[in-house]
Amino acid sequence: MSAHYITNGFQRAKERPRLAAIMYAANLAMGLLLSIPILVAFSQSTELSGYSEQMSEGFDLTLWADLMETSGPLLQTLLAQMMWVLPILFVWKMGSSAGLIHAQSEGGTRSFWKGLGQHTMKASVLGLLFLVPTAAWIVFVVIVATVLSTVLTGEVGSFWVQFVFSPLAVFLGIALIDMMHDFGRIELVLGKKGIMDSWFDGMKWPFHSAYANSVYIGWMVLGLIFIVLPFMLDLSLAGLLIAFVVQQILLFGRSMITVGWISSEVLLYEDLFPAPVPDESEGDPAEAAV
Amino acid sequence: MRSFLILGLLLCWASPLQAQKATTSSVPLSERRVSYTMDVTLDPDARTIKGTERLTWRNPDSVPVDELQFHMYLNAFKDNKSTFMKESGGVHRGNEAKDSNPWGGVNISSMRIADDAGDFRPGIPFIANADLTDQIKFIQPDDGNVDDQTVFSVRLPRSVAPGETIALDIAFESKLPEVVARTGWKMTESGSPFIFAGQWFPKIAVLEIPGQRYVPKDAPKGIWNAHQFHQNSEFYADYGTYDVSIRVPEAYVVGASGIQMDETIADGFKTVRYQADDVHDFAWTASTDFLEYNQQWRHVAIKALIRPAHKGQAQRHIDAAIVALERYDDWVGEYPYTTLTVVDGIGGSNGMEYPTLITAGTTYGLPTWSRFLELVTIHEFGHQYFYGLIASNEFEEAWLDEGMNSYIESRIMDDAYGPGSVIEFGPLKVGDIAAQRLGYVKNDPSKGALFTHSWEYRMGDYSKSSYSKPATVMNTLERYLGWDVQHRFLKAYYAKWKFQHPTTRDIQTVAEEVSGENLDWFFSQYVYGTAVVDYSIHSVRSTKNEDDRYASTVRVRREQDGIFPMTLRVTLEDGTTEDFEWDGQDAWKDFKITRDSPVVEAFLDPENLVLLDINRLNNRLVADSNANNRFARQAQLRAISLYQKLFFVIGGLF
Ligand SMILES: [Zn+2]
Repeated sequence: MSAHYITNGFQRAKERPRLAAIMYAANLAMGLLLSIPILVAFSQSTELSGYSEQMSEGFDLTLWADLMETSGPLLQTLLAQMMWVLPILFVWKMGSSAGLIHAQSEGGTRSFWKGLGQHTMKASVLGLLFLVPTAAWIVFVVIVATVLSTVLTGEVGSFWVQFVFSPLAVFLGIALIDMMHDFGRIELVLGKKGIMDSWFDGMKWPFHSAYANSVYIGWMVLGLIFIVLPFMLDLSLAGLLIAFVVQQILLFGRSMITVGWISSEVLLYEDLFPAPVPDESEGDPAEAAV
Repeated sequence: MRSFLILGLLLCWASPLQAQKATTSSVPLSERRVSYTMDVTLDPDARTIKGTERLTWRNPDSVPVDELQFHMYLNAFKDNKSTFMKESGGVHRGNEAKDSNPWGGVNISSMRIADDAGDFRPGIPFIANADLTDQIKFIQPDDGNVDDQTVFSVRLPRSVAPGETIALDIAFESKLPEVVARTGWKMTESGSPFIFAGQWFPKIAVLEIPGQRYVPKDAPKGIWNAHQFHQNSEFYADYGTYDVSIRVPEAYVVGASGIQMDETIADGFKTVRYQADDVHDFAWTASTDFLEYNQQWRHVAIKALIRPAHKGQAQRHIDAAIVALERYDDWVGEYPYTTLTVVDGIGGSNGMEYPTLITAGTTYGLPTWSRFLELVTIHEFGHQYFYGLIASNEFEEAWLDEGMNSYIESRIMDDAYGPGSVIEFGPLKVGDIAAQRLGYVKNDPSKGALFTHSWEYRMGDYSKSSYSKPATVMNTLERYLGWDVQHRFLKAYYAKWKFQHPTTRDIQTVAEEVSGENLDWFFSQYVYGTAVVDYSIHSVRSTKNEDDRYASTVRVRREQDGIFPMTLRVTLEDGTTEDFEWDGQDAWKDFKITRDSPVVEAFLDPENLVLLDINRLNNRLVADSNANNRFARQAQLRAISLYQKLFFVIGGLF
């Protein structure tokens, strides 16, 4: 049954490829914007240096050290821009997720932008609320790891606690909370619940639907594959332009996964809580286009 | 045929004997001014080593000597008033020795002239049984810190005649500190203390006689060279023999300098006896946890003592030791000892060298793309040569051991594992030579000359000037002279100075003799001085003449005070290249080149020979017509995709 939700979700994503295109384009645009200081600084340092070709061929520690020295405050610039990028990224993630929920509800006929416009504020507040259990979970893992390290002592023990248990526990916990967050957001957008109700009801989801769990896990695995593969391409650098193109294809695939993922969750939600008869304004077929 | 038969017989007869010898030689390899016979017992619970020491010392001077000086280095960890603790602020290379930790120290309960000095009393009657204990007087030759008890002097009731040997019987008790500065004890996971005994016994200093090192040939008499234990200083001692019996609880596995002669077990205790010849120190280790791995390399019995958590990496230790043995044998000279013990110690005891006994250091799960284990093993093995066999004074000229060793270490890493082999993860490749260079050129390169007393360095300059800078200086010298000459220089340096105490002056002399070149310009700038090399191409300009030829001007500049001969390579538009030599003396120079084609690129030091150059990026310049932005664009593409992936990952966190 969960496979059915996943395939149907994917089908929905395929039917409206422009949704994935929006996700992909926004992601690419942000990456492009943030990379500009690198282009400017490195152009100035290497364009006439004669080393451009050699540095393209492979990593040279000496030249990179000289480059970082001549590029001045590039690192500070890159760190500083993360300061404003992270809040934007957060709001975009909340708004676009709400937009996707809206767009893929009721047979996938509604507007992404309208959903985004209507729900970004509330979804962002809800997102902030979900940072609370995330923080609590991290604190909990730290405490458990501390206790564990009194049992699993020594170098081998602390290796397992620090490098295996703790990251895994944090990852799995965050995944669980992310899933609660997904359904909480659906409660907010489709269930028309208040922020607090969506928060509480979202947290109940892992317990009241086994499908919710398996659908989430299924998509999570796919999502991981499509993010690990492009990372692996970075490690086998050969033919960088080709690598970049393949990465972009994979990242578009990753955007499709985001759309399919939310679509599956919406389908599941709608099966469990059939939507009331839509009011006139929501049912306007003209807004189906994104 | 007969000679073959005899040779065969000799070999058969020699091999079992060789197994019981500490060196490959049947005659003394060193001057052997000292000998130590020790009988000591470890009390692991009290963290003490208690025992006796019969020391013989032969007066090498041509005048009588009435004072002896000794090192008592464990007293550096006696309290926080020692010079070591004051200099390091209670911290040494990241290993804390806080007030709450048990302190160490060494106490001499008696020191007397031996009643029976045996072979070591050639005829001249001594005042036998003279008690010298009350004559022990701590001195502070370096800084006058009266609370420092790391060097003492003893006045003798009668002077030791030239060539005469004095024998002393010393009873002492050493209390090991919790591991600090590569010595001490540390609790293991199994609950018993791991022991590393370094700097652990009263050890006589070096009497430098006229003509030795920097003592003038016409000086009236020799001078004791004894330094207090400092934060950044290690060893200096005379060659001799050690015969040491160590008694430990039976469960302990022991490793030590030299060769194990025998082992007896009685009453729950194990006594192991070690013999080390032609060495200038003796250290040992003991732990109930050690797993022992043995492998033979030619005449060397390699033993690895590995902690259980790292047993998967035992072979990596041994392989790295062999990698180093092979190359030192080829590049520098024969390893004359028959044993090598590699110890996987705990924390602050790691990364240390003693004669035929080194500590490495690794972590559980160390991936193979990280070769820090190999690097540290090769480095510590290298000290068997640069400190062990060629015993420069580590207090006064640390670069001669740490620096020469770091240089060969970087060479071995490249040769054995390839350039960029310390970290080799995907496209990220970090090599030792480049890393050493970076440690110098981007770390305040104008500060800290190689030729500096180790305790007189400015904060932070010691490690640069003793490790990374000399490695870069020597890698540069190799590229300047060529490996062929450098190779002969290394071999000659070893051949001439093995089992002696060379100085910076001596190594320069050997380099000059072998290369046939006066290297004052090199040594004065980069060994004795702090000159900084940075050459750059300032501009490349071309104009077309009336005869359709192009007049190009390349302006090169010397950006700093360091002078180094440079090769300028220009590339013309038609693809041809031409090299020009520049002595590098002037602040700038114009090269005027008239050819059929304009100069489109100028490149100083195109073969990357002068590793001392602190900025390589400015060594090269292309004409505007040859601008190339491939690298910057590629970097941007990589950054874009990295950001994209990061955003997906971060997005998953909200
Ligand atoms: Zn060293």
